[in-house]
Amino acid sequence: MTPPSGQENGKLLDVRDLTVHFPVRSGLLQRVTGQVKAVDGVSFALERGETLGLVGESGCGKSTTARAVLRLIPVTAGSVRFRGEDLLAMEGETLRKARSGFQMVFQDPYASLNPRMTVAEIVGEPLFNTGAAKSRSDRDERVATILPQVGLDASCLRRYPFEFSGGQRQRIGIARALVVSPDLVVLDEPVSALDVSVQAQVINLLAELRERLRLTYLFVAHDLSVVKHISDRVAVMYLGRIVELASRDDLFDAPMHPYTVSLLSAVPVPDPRNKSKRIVLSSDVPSPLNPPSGCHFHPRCPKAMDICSREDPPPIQGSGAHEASCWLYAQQNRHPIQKE
Amino acid sequence: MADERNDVLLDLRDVRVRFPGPKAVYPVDGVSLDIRPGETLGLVGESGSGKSMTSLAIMGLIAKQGGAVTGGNIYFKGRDLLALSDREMMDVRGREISMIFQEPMTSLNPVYTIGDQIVEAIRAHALPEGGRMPKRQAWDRAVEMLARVGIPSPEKRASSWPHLLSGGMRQRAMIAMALSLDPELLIADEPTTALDVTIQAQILELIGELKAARRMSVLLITHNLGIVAEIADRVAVMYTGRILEIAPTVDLFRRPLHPYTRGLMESIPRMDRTVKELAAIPGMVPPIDALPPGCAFSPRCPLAEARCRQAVPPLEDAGNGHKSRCLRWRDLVADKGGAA
Repeated sequence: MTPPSGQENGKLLDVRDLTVHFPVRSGLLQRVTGQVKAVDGVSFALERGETLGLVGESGCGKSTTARAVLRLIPVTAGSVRFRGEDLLAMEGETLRKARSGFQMVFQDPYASLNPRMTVAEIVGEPLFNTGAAKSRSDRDERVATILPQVGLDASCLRRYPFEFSGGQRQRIGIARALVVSPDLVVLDEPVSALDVSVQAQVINLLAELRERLRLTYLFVAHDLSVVKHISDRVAVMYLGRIVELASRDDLFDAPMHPYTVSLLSAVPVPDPRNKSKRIVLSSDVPSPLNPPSGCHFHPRCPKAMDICSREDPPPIQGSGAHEASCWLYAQQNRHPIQKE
Repeated sequence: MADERNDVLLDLRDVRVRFPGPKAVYPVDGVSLDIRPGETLGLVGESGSGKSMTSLAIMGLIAKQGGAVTGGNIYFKGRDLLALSDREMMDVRGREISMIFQEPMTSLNPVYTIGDQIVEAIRAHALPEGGRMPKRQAWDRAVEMLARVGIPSPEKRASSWPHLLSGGMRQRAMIAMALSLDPELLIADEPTTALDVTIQAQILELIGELKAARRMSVLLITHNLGIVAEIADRVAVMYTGRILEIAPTVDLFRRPLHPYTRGLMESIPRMDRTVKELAAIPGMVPPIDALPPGCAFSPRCPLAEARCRQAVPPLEDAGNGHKSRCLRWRDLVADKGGAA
């Protein structure tokens, strides 16, 4: 692990009780008739140089969490501290400048690059946005420096996205994130749109850049094998909440939360002699519009108890220990809020 | 297993698909494979490998895409499908061979209820004793099929519109429709790629159960080696329109005899092992209109020699039903490499 950078004991990002609600409108007058609790009290921290994998199935709130942390969507409540500073309090020019510290790589290398912009314009855009470059020649120089670092030729500057393959486009997206020399990079499904043989190239590139540029990653993905490969620690989300947070090895070798256990067992392993014993969950993920009471997982949980439908299990604190937000474990360590 | 020609349900011999253009291309270029009753054949490949085109050729749907089958034979129960009239082929589709696609939403008609669409599929075909199934009876059959694929409250769901169902439920409805006429062969093209991993586990379980209950054959098209390892009996690996390797699943994973197969296995991150760096295959899949001479994989192959670039290597029999289109497969037999 890389040593902490002095002033703020290693914590690069500290997210506390992050909550993002989206209003639901309906009827002729489009009145607000409900709230989707997309992110419902999420806490975690990232040390400098580490990679936290954020996994979960569609609708669990992992991408919304990532976007909220970067101030790309409005936050309902909670706090986000980046290098010790309150990100949620920043506005306008201050926020724009601060963005050079944290950048994002998106999933779809076809949709996330403007087809009418050249590589120099795409990759160089954050330089202008954050005020890091003043002129076009300034920008081109910085872009020409970053391209070889992601495995692209500096002569690509004047070319357009359609001239590149999916893997090369994702390299352009990575270059765009890195051009302002950020500390934190949030990657939202960065390899899931790529073919198998190209996926490995991009994963290796991301790992190499992390070492070389001392980057910190928040790696959002649904593919557990990919997350296992790249992460130091892993957070599992289910319906807006983190249900388990642990080091990579603890999470994959000794999962605690029943949801994590069934999720891991569902991944097909490419070894026909070792067919996994799947724990097939009944039914679908419930709607985040109307999540179940208590522990959101209790209707599908093979180990559900009485208390699970009545009370929320204690939330994940992001303490660094192996934590599961589950009454199975909560009862061993602390008393439930009320015992009948 | 002995090679019993008379016990073959589907038999493709040297099938070629041509698409016209400034330069004609062959997305399927001499594909031969067979499927026995009750067998699941996995067809694996990256985008552009021709795996989906192969399935469209079997279904007689190439003309709709603007191409034509210009060579070879496709025997189904001894009958050459390529010699059938459009009318006759329409009857084969649905009743004898059914297909399910990756994205169930695009394959379901949004303005008809689920039940109506299954009824339509059933009534599109004449009954064996002549005439069509009465509407009432077809509706009951639709409800019964929805129940068989594990859709809760099937009577109610039959009257639902597709958009009201979750992704997993839609895929179940698609399977119900595909199986409503009791086909002997199910072609499943990336049936779980758009689904979450816990739902994927449910669908794979379902296909396995239905297969066992009806001795149905399955052609499973996927890019996911894990899924293939779990449910296929044999696997064919495709690359740029050709089969590079075909083998019983256990043999393929234990000892891949083509460098491409081996490269794929080593490049994917896996749940059951941890490596520092992924062994990525260099380069990318060549575009179909600019294939390199000889073996199309040779520019990316660590074993390539001058002779590999001279002519397309033949698909050689390595014994035990294991075939490889690599001139150096014997070197791979000796080398204790590969996955696991």
